[in-house]
Amino acid sequence: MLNLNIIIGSTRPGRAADHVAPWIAGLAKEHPAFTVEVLDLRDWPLPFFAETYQTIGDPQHPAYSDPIVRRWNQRIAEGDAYLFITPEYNHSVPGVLKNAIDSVFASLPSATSRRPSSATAAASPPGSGPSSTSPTSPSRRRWSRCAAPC
Amino acid sequence: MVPLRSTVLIPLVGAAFDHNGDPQNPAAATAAGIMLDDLAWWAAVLQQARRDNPLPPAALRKMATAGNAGH
Repeated sequence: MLNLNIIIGSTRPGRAADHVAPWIAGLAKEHPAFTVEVLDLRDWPLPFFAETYQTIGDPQHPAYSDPIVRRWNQRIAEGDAYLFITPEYNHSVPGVLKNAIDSVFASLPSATSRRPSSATAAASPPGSGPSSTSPTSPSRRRWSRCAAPC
Repeated sequence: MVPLRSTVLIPLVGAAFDHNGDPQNPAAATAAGIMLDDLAWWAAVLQQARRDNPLPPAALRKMATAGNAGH
């Protein structure tokens, strides 16, 4: 079985993810390939990213300066695939999700390397469709490059 | 990370789900099924590839090269 991490990328009260996540997690749990783990960023109050190569230690076994960042990296490293549930804020993903991705920057080489990721995106303003995760949107391309160096 | 092209986009999310928690638009479930199948296919392929041929990530190889160069 493959371990699918579903990452809820908004922590805002009344977030749309409370509608999206149960639906998509239900479908994922019915999929024969996956064991599913939902990682809600409300449960991961990560500090603003401020790690350096000095604070992470050995990049093969990053230590990090904060225990919760270390735990977050260890949890992410257990995934075989990632599904991000994200709203669109200002043509991009929420800062809290970007920060969570930044916080595994050493694990982007060592933990998420060569594991697939996809996204479920939601938008609410009338007349606007989600563009932050559209494969052709500039923000998606920037985000992909930023989050996926290898 | 290997970003896939398959995504599920849910516009006008405030009215997108019915009282059972299912999307009003059946295209959402179709897209979700395609996305999950793609994720499963790539996850299995890449899991095997990581086992068969563990390739150090580019960032680590870059750091190793910089170290060997004395920087």
